[in-house]
Order: sequence, then C-alpha cells, then structure tokens
Amino acid sequence: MREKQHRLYKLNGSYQDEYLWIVLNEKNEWTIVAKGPRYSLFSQIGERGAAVENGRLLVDSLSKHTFEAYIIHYEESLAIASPFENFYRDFHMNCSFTIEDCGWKGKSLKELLDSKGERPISDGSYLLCDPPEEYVAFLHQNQISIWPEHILNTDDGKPPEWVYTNSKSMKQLSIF
Amino acid sequence: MGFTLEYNRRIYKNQNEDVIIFVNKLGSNNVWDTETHLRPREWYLEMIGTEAEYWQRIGSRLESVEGGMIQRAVGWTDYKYFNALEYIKLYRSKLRNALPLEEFTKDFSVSYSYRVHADNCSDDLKNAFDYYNIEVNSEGFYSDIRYFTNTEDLLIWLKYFPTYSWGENSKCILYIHPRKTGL
Repeated sequence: MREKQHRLYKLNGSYQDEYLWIVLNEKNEWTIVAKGPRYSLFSQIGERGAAVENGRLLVDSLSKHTFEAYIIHYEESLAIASPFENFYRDFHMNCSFTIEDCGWKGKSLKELLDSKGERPISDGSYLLCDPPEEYVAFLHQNQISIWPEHILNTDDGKPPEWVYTNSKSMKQLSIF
Repeated sequence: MGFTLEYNRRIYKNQNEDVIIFVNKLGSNNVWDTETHLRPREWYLEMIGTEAEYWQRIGSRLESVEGGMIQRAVGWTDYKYFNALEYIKLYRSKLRNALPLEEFTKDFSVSYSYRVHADNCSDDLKNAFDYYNIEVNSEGFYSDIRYFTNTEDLLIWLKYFPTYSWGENSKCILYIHPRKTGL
C-alpha cells in the first residue's frame, strides 16, 4: 500500500469538531480513510501506523517509516486541518442518496432540493454533482452530519433519516 | 464513564523465531474492592504472535488511548492520560527490553480451561483433542483444566487451541496468574 498524499478537513461542531481524512493511494485515487471526532481517527492512525511499522504501507511524505513518525505526521496535520468548506473547493464530488421516510429534517431537505430544481431520478434517489455549499450549510445547521459516503446518525441518537444508496460513486473523488 | 487502567505490561520474545507473548495488568477506574479499598486488577494475556501482530494489537488500541478510555495507572490510586505517541513509545521501549520467552511460565502460572461438546467441535479442534489423546466424558464434553509450566509446551498447545472462545457448548479460556507478589 502507498499513501502519496493526504488531506484533513475539519468541521466545527457545537459539541465536538469532526474531521474528514482522505488519502491519495498508489492508483492515484482519492479515498476516504476516516471521518469523525479527532480521537476516532486514531483507529485508522493505529491500524495504518502498524502497517507503516511492519513495512506494508509506504508514505511518501515520511522520511522515517516508524509508528511514531506516522503519529507525529498526523498530529501535525490534525492541528492545521483545513476548514471543511475547502473540501468542496478542492474536490469534485458526486453523491447519490435517497431521502427515506422523511422526518422533519428529511422533509426540509426535500423542500430545499425541490426549491432548487433538483429532481429525484426514477428510483427515487437524488444524484448531485458538486452539491452547493448551501445544501451543506443547511445540513450543518440542522445537525445532520453530511460526509462523503455516509450520513451519520443525528445528534438525538435516532437512525439516519436518509442515507446514500450508492456509496461507490462517493468514493470517486477527483481533485481539481 | 468507566475506563480501563493499565497497571503493568510484560513482553516476552523469542529473538530467533519472532514469537511474542504480551500480557497486561488491567483494572477499571470505577471498580473498588470493598475490603481493601483498592481497585482490583488482573493480568490478562493480550496476544501471542509475531512482532507484526504485536504492532497491530497496539495500533488497534490507539482510538481508546487517545479518547481516554485506556489510561495509565500511577501509584495505588492515581492515573494519568497518555496520548497515542506516548503509548507507542512505551510499547517500543517494552519490546526493546523484552524478556526471554521461556521466562513467561516462570513469572506466571498458566492454566487452560476447556469445555467443548463433541457435537459442537470443529474438525480442527477434534483433531487437536485426538492429538493430545483427550477423550469425551460421560456428558459428551471434552472438559478439563490443563496446567503449563513450560512455555514451549504452551506454544505448541496454542497452535491447536484458541486462546479464548465462548459459546453455549464451547468454552476455552487461558488464565494467567503471577507467581511473584511483586508483579
């Protein structure tokens, strides 16, 4: 495995900040490694740090391939993570999702999409290319976490009101 | 919320064959013994495997470490948050100063308890029982406790038997207890 580059984006939250971590792999594909609060990223930092230590992960920006070097590398990156809005500036994003059995949040989102002329395709799902920041701002204001590939649970612990149905397309990120 | 306290850890290593035994002394921050007024703590077998597996094991705990769900015990009652980097450095140092593998069964008494119903036994496990000439009892179980005083014997045993499994008709558990009071 190879990690040619990485990007870390930070979404400021009312309770805690969340991060999106993506890497450019050996196939020149940007893939999502992890997303969530800072501590949760260490699940992947731990797994990948062990791979670095064991010689299974090559990281271009590391001069010394040790577990410690990998952690320091990411601690530094976490400290200077880009605002999440920059993700939309830096990457194209195709997303496909359905709005399931709408609660009030889902209903409001549907209204917003309708007002912007977005129409679901035949199977009822929405396909958006580079969703405008307005959508993201709406989701954020309503405490619906939107991340590429997944929609996280809402803060009240209820199941997600809508989910992406085609996560594959979400992984196909391409840099500007 | 309760979290795990690490009181001690020991690494045993065979330099030639890349075999590591990693044991940990653990407790909980919010469990107290009513008689001693101290937190109870026990030694657990964390893993037996290669150095690569050792780092995977350590790596898999970093989320809990960074999130404060695993902390370092200090003295009898205190504890201290340690971050991911400190954790890795600690275990790097422990690995560098690993004890000889054969010391493991000198430091710990090791017992292996098993109770597996013959009908619930995989072919591999049945072959293992056959290899050791262990027979089914009158209730239809392979059931006994086996004690190990030699690390080499233990490692051979664990090539065939899981260090832990827990099912309705299949229970296998490896226990370790320190032989020395200072541990």
